[in-house]
Amino acid sequence: MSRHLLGRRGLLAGGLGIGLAARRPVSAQQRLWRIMMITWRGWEDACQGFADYFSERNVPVELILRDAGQSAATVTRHVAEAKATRPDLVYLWGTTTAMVALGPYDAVDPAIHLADEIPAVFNIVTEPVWNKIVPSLERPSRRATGTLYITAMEQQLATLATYRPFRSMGITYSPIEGNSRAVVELLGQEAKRTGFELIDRPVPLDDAGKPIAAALPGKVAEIARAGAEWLYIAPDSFLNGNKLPLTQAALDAGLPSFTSTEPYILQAHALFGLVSRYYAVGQFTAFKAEQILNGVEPATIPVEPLARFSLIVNVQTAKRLEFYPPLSLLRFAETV
Amino acid sequence: MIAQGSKPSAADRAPAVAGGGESAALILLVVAVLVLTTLYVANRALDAFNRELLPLMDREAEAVSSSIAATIERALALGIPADRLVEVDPFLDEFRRQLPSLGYVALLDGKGSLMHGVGPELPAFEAMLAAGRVLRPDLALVRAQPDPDSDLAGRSISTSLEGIRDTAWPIVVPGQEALVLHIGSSSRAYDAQIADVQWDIWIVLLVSVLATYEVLIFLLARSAEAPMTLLGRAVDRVARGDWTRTVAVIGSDESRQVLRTFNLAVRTVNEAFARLTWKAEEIAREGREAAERIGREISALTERHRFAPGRLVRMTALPGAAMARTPLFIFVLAEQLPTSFMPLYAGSLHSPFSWLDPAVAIGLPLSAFVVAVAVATPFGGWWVGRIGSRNVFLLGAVPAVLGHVLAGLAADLTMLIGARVIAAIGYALVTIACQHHFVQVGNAGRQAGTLAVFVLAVVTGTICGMAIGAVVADRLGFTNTFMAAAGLVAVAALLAAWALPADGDAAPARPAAAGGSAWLLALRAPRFLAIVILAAIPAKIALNGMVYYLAPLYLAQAEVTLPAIGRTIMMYSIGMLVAIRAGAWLADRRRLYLVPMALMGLLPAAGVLLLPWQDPATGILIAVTALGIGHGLGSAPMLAAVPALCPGPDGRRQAALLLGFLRSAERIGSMLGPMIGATLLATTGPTGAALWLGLIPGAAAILLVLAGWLLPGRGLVPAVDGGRR
Repeated sequence: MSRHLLGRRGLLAGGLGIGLAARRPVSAQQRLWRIMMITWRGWEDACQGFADYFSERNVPVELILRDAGQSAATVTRHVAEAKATRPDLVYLWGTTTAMVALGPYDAVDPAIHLADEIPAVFNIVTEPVWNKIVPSLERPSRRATGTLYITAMEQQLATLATYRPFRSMGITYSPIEGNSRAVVELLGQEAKRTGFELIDRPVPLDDAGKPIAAALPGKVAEIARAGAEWLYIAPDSFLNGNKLPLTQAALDAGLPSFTSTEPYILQAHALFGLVSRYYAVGQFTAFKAEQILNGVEPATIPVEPLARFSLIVNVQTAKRLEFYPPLSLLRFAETV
Repeated sequence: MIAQGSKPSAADRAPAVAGGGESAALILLVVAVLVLTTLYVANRALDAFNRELLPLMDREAEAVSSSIAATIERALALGIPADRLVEVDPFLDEFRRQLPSLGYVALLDGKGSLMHGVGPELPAFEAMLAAGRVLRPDLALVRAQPDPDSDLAGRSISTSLEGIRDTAWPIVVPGQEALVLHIGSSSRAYDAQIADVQWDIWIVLLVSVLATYEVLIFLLARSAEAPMTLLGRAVDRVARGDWTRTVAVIGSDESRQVLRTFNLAVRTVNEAFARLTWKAEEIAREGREAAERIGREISALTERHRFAPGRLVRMTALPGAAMARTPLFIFVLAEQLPTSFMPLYAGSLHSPFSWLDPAVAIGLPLSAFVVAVAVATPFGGWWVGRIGSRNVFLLGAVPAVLGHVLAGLAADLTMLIGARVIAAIGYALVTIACQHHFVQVGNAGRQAGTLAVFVLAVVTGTICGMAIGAVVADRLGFTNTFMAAAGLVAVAALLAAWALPADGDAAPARPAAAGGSAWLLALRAPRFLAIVILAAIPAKIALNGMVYYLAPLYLAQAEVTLPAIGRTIMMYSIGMLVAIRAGAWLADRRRLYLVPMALMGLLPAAGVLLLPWQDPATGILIAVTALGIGHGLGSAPMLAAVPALCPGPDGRRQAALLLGFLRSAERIGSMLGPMIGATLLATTGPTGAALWLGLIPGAAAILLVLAGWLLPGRGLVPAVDGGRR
């Protein structure tokens, strides 16, 4: 772990060195970079980390904020504006935002997508390869790169087993979201590989094709009745909008819940998580943005996760479930 | 001419023998003093070690307790009830494993009953708990009351309970039940370390005694024995009426005084004779009769005594065998310093031979060394004949030093192999130079004796070097040990420069036996070939494969310490030293050749067959010792069998040729040993490799016995045929 950190620090120093010495020694300092930030559901910790990175390092940037209000059509409108005003970089928050703004790498439509006209960085994106945002994490091969905020599924499940080994797990999600479908597919593969039962209960859709929020508690109870030992919370925008009802339902059903993203555990009642702190992910994304601004080709900058993840236990939930973490886990875990 | 025809050789040796008796007493005294002081110092060192141990154990226990307690306190502070803590035993066990000295880790509730516990000594702790001998929890908890938020240090209470040091650590969290953590440290975990230190001390003691003995022999030879021998020779001449020689004033103060007194006496006598001659001439002038009379008296005197007034010749000391013994001992000691870790060192270096199995690559430096020695030795022999032992020794020291330095600095395996080849050239030159010196100084009848001195110096040097090299490497690292070896080679060279005769003992080299004729001769002697193929080569394969290659790797893999590896492979030489006389006795007195040769193969086989039932350290120790004893028993009879196989008028020449052939064949075995060991290691694993390396000579020995029975005639080696050798 510490070697990774050192490596990253070296990378930071290297990036700085290139920026100051080799590329544009004077102009890099004096020029004001214009960055358009397209967000999905407003300003949050990752955006703050991104902005703070530049101010802490005295890199002059003008941040042009554009929120999509969870609407794909709005994202497309913001993209059009970017193409017209030509900022130095576009920042994309969230899986849907990135998918709509960039388009699948093998079916780019120059009419609606950024189409390599302006470089872009993305963060808080789930499975960028599965979602066709980039063909490969090591070489994005288009004018866009970004960061990962979720650890590999295998690692998540191994961490979960340190809390308590399990034989069955339930998941509920919005079937219309690409993120969730990707996660369910990966979970299914892991279930087959390591031999646990996956209880898959998607939320029903209404006539408009939207998931029905009111059905959520019932689905969770159904999962508990089917014998699930854990509830896996997918990084899903629909679920994110219903954090409290979802985790409260799990609590009511006596079902411990695991998450790979921070909000469920910090702002709701999820029990246990292996998460990247959004703020740190935002900073790391800003580091990649700075590389691009200093002239490094985004196509060659790998899409990477942070070297450090946090184990978080929600002790209040543990107490209410009377489902306590083992002592070895408490040595390392943060508690809220 | 009085003394003419008496026994000059006995007279020659008389003073030396007297000196020998005194030196033995002196050596005994010095060694006794050395042993006693080392034992005393060792005892004090172990005392100090034990005194330090208890506070050390307390500190370790305190550190572990505070880490465990911190997590438990956190859990309690988060509101997890003490009786609902999850997976406490695995958690406690994690810490116990980190510190092997921990006999148990136990968590007691406020009433003093055991909630959780792990460790092999837990039953003992429970028994003490039941007997009420463990510190009462209320007493432990009192310590925690005054200021629970203060620094954790000083909260623990340690007590000694039946060989276990118990450390109690109170865990107090407001609103939760108080707990007490108990940790038991057992000094038994340090037993192994203490035993290691004790062993190191024994090794240092052994090596210092042997080295002191060698150095004393050298000093005595130079300061007392050599002047006395010289004086003895001079006195012997005087006894024969020869007053023409003075002696070189050599040795220690007392010896020099004696020699000066002798010279003074010789000069006084010669001056008296000169005065007498002068007076005689005076008298001769007085008349013919007086001249004739005085002439008769003078010639009667000169008939019995010879004088050389004004023309005295100075006698110098003859070179003694002991003069080369100590430099050779030090040289061999230096050469053997890296033996115990050579394969480990080779394994730690980058191998550019990616196409080779790593196990085989590790064996390359060993095989390269043997090959280079084999190639360089005949050249060294030729060179000694031209420029003398001393010069060849000194020239050989240069590549030897260079080889050790380069080996120590080796950046990869190629460089190490190169360094070992250079060191091997040095080794070949120095050993052949010493061997030549011993042959030259040995009187015709005492060659075997002086060659025994050569073998003894090599074996003691090997024992000391293997053992102390491991201890040094364990303390100072591999590179420094190579540097120490280079330094010791330089010391050996300085001693040789000082002690070996400078005038040179160069003698034309014997005409080299033609290789072809040796081959033809060997091919025509099936019994001899059986000995070569079924005894000599397997023995060297086992030695180089097992002792030099496999044992260090195997033992290091079993996490045996480096000094213990050194001690283990040293047992080969000790076993050999113990058995070699028995082997010689069997061959010389009982005319037994086949039995000891068979034992040479069967003993190591028996040794490795015990391996599966032993832990690796003991198993390899037994196997290596058995190999040493086997080789000790078999090597002398094997060499003695060769002349016994060569009857007839041309026997002596044939035996010499065949012995040369045997030596070359042995070198092939030595070269193959590490390669076979490596291949076996790569294919069958360490235990399998050790088994096979022992079974190869065992199987060969059985075939040898069968050959002895089946070959027509009188067995493998004719039982009769005394007197020849």
